[in-house]
Amino acid sequence: MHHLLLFVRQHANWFLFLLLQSICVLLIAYESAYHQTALLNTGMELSGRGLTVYRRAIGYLRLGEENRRLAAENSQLLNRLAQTAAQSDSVRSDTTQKQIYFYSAARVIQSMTASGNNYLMLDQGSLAGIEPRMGVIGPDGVVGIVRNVSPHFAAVYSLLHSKVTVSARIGHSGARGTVRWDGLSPQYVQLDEIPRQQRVLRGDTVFTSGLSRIFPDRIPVGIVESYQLPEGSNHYRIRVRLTTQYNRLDHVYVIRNLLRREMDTLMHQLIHDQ
Amino acid sequence: MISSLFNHFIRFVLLLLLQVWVINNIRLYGLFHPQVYPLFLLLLPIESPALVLLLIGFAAGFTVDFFTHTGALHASALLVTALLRPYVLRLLRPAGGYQPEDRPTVAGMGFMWFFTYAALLLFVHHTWLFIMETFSLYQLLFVIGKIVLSTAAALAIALIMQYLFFSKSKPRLA
Repeated sequence: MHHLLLFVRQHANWFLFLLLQSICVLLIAYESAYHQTALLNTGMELSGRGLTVYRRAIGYLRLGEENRRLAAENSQLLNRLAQTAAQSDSVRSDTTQKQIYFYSAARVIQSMTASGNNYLMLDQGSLAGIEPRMGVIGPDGVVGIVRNVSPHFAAVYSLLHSKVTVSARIGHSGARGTVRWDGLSPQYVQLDEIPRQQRVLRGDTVFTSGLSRIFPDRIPVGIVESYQLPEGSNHYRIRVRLTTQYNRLDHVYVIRNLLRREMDTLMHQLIHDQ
Repeated sequence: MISSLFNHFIRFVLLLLLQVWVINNIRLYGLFHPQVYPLFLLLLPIESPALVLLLIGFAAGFTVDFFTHTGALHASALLVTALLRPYVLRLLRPAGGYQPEDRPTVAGMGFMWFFTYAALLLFVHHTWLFIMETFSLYQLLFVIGKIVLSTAAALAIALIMQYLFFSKSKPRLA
């Protein structure tokens, strides 16, 4: 007994280390549950406020470029509006043309790209109607998916996060697959599950498929950079260059799917029935 | 004593802000992600007891995680660094042992001593952090590159800070 006590005392640092380290490992493993605690929301509010001040201080440095991009986006939207107006006579009576997605603007106050799991912070939160699992897009395309909200801020998993997958399709052929990040370069993601009989073209645009209920159809994700067909595989491995540049992101839009509750209920029933 | 405690606390806050607001926003091919907050732990007094170091490391790492939404990743890494710090100090002990007035800085212990000390511990910290972060070995080459480059960058920052913020008031007595 005496020897045991002596041993514990001599190696107290190792015992304390093992104790604390196992707490860490548990927390890392159960990260998702832990993320929803009120404690973390307080942290988000605190760091968010600080970041807002910081972004305001350095924001003017990118005003020129930001204005140019917003103007380009505006002209694109005007064009689309004109097209829709031209078509609207024929479809006005069709209820399927009702607005499904509602966009609200937010600004990025922090954007990480160096980590293995990257996220962004937005300056709008639950008070602005933002909820977890809403999609976020920028002027250049898909940005990420809301993970957590506090009253004034939202934490968004970017596409550069191991837990994010987005249903996507190739513009040319319409073949559908899944986009996920391989954890390497922050400029590229991987598009999987495109069957080998499809034709893949370098330089083709990859869009969201609209299947996920999170993003509308035809939001750009990236450009096909290269592709290969691994030996014995029925699916391509496609390397996609992201159109969104996370370090330059400022104005983004959070997308609310106005019909999501209805869709979720249906899906839920379907799963329940089986 | 109180003022020295306060100094260490302020240093931690400043390093934390530098980490979260500046360094984490810099993007260099995903390969450079230097961690500067461990410097705070490195610069605690040499005679700090091992158990206290572990508790401080846990708390400080957890604070970083709090701001970066990483569960307990940084706490885990800083714990390892805190555990190994006394051993590295023992390894680098000068011939006459440490004097009460010695500080683990360039000004206190000389350039070579600090370089080795910081390089060893920062390397350990980055290695643990990035391996825990990826949690798989299929990107091994990338992770090794990230560890080496990030450690080098953090070490460079540490050395620059040494010359910026620690005056060479007391040269070490031979």
